[in-house]
Amino acid sequence: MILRAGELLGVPQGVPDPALHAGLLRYLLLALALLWVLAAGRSRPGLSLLAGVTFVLAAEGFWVLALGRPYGLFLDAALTRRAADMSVAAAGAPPGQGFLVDVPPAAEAWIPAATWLRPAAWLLLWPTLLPLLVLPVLGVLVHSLWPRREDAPVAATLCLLFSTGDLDAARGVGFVPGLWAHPGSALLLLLIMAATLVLGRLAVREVVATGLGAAAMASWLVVHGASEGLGLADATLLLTLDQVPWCLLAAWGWPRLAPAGRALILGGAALVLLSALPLGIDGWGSESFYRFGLLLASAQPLSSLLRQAAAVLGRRRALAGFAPASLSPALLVLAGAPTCFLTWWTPTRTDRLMDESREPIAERLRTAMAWVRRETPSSSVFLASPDYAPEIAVLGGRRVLRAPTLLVADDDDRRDRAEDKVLRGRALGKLGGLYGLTHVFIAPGDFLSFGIAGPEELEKRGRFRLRYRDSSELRVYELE
Amino acid sequence: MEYDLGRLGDAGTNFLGIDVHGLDVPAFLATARHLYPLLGLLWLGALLRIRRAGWLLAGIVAANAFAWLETNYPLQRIYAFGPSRDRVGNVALCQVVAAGNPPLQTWQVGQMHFEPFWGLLVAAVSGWNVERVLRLYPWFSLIMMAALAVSISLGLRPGPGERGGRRWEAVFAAGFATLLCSMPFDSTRPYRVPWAMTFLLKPNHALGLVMLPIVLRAFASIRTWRGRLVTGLLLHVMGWVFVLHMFYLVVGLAAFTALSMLRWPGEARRDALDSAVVIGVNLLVVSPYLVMLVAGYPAFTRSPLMTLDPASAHLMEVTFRHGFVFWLGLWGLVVLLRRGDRLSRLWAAQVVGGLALWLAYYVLSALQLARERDEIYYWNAFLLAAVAGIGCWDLGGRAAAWLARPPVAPAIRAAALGALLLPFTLPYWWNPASMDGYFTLSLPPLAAPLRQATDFIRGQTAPQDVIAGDPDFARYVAALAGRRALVGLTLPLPRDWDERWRLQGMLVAGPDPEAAVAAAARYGVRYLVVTPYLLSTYYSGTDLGRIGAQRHLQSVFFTGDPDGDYVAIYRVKKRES
Repeated sequence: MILRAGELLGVPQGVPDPALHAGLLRYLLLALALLWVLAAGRSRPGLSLLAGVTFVLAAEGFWVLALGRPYGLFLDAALTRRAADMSVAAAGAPPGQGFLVDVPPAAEAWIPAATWLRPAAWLLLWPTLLPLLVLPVLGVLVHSLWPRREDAPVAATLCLLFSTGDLDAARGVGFVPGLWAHPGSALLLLLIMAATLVLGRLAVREVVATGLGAAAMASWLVVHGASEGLGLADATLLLTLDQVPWCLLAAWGWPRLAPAGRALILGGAALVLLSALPLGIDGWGSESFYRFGLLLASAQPLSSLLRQAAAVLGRRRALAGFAPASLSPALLVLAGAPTCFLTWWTPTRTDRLMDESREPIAERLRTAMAWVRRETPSSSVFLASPDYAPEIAVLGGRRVLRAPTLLVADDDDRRDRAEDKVLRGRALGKLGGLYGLTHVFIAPGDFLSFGIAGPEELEKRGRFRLRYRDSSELRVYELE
Repeated sequence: MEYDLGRLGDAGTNFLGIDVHGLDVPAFLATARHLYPLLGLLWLGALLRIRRAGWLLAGIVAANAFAWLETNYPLQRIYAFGPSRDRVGNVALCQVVAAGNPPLQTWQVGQMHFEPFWGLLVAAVSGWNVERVLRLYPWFSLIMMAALAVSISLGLRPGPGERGGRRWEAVFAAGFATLLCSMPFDSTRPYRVPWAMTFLLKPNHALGLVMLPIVLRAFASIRTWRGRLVTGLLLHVMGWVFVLHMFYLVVGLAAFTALSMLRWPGEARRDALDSAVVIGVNLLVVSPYLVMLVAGYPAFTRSPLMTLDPASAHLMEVTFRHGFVFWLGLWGLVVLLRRGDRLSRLWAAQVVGGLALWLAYYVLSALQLARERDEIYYWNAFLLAAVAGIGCWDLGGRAAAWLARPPVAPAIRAAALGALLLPFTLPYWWNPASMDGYFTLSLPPLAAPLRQATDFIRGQTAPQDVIAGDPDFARYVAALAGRRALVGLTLPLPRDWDERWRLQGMLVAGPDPEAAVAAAARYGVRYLVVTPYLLSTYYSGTDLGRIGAQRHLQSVFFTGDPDGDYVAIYRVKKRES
């Protein structure tokens, strides 16, 4: 299993190191911004878009490369549960089985998708890698589908540069910072955006196209958010002052705004207001739709302002070679890229999971779990301590009897009794065939409350056959 | 240290004497952030009727006060007192003066002090009362915020015959300098939040910023030799307040002279003469202090720590890091240079000088001498913001002229711009719980043993008594009780460092009581403070029992658990005559 994005590129662990290389990142982004300015200024919209995408990928990719493991793995229970279900499903567990034996998997799209995602070695990394692509793809979508073609480059640039502002990030709903906590729903967001843009181009009355687009956004209601909601005060500020200056530019551009833009603003605003209530509607996506709507609405008025500024600056000898039409997107990039949120984003300081995910998974554990995945049947069920049960499921791809740090089954009492009997060397009796226990994973310090001083004690207690052992005394026993 | 960590939930009052130990801090802060925009918009709405620049200035001061109150209200101790060594040290420096000790000495007995001005000021304001200093200290942050806003607005006010719109521009500069010098995610950056790190943590340094507009105004007004002398003396006062700010200003004056030679040759001679005389007068008067500073402060001692942080994009930190404020600051610079009057050129030169100093840090870093990087960063941040206010006012005027005929009244322009900028002002996004590492650590009160021990020292010892013992605890003794220490951590080492530690050893372990008492008398040492930290770090071969049995020591105070955490105080018996 590949657990680090750096492994895909052959980059050694610890590279990049934010403590050493974050300064270089900022300079790199400045250089990429200048290349973007040149591409935009030379009336090469395709090249300009490519430069913008590169800028975004560099700004996000640095932090993903710095991770030593998939985002949040073994650090966040919900993310680890999803990874466990994915891993067990991909390894060929019987249908309807999640990582806890005889407990169905969570109803998440990632789990059935896990059986066909390729390459299989990247399985656990996909939820960390895919968010990288969301903003670039969105920029390409806007550039391709925005109906006002003369404003499309500016619209795409605005989306790439200003998808996240300091204020909405400070309020906890920043678009880019929220991508890794929403890897699957980010793809849904992308689909909804694409649908809204496409619907906005339909040859129907504008109000119908707007309504269709807003209706498409209703599908966001299936995404679960915090049950307590954003709160009305925060939602109000998110819709108004947090969006300065975009809300003002959008108001200016509203009369000439394309239906897709109106749909995003109206639908997004409605979703933000709903997410303010304790209804469990996700506020991150709601605010993102609204913000993208404002950015798209700002494209035309901003283009107009930039053209005027470009006309003035174009009289300078140094800029005489640039056409005003191409100077305006160049000015936007020049002013925006070095100062935007993405350039200065430091997720290791604001996102606990991003910071703690920099620590790699211990090599001895990876080796042991690779053995489990390779040498035990996919139908195996493991008994492991709370410290290692998640690893068995996630890295080993095998179901476990109990994993209380991730999920407690309804029949946990019965599972606890089964565990007790196995570890004390007693006959399982009626519990014998219930869970299909086949193996025990034990490490030094596990099961001390059962009087097991060390892993080697286990085989004295019953019919256990040692199948795996490493130098740190991680052991796998097969139940005979 | 254990003794500086209290517990959340312990009963305690804030700086207003209000019991806040049960306060729901997250809800309090969230309510403050929701209330601020409402109050701000109401204030700006009132500006449309009142139409006075003074009302806007009052609003700027009020906004700063709002953030200051929001931050300090939940705290059951002085902000950062304990979590920040600087904080404890600065309060200690003031307290020993308030107790009546010489202002030219630190809280380490017999050691010269480099920045005596602040301690003298605080002591004077408190009426030389140690307890009153502790009650008043949080207010100094607010006073400095207000003083800077007023100072900039007065320093940039139009002269006779100039346009009245410049008055509003000056207020805008004041607003930007205080409320827009910081960005929401500055806390994730190497230099943290300038507003908090300057006003809240180091109001003594903020006083140097307050003096900047005053000195520049005085310089711009120079007509005679008397004016040059007065300005030089003002600059020298700035040196006493904070010598680094004086240095930065001098560099700015050098940049001013260079700019004059390049672009205003007609003014160059006068500008060069004024700069030379002002700097010369300043150097003449302040030189003894500078010699003392150079001799005592390790400014030229190389250290691998005194290099630029590799995680910091140095050039971009003072430019693009400030977002739209940087672009407005650039435009403000253009406006000032185009205007060409003396005051405008002075301000522009200060920005240029500050940036030049920032660049010079590449060289200093290569020499491992890149000290006080944060101070030049804050200097640049405040300057850039102030000049950005000027740029913003100008652009606002151009936009208003483009949008509306006839011209819009300044008050309306100010209200509109104020509403636009409101979400970017600090109180709008400021959440000290997540953006200020000192805030959460300052919520609980000081640990009871610490308070009890220092209360005892304050009440039962004479102001001139010197305390030996735990060199870390000594900071708190100085800060809370105003008593000087024999040895203290965090201050530069005095020349007789070894001798002081020998005396410590004699006091703790004997074996010659008479010699110990005699040596103690030379430094004025009257008390010995023993804590677990002192024994485990420096005197692991002894214990409380053995120390208490020393003939030259008499136990006068004890609090805590002898087998755990405690503070034991012994009086050094006087020499028998």
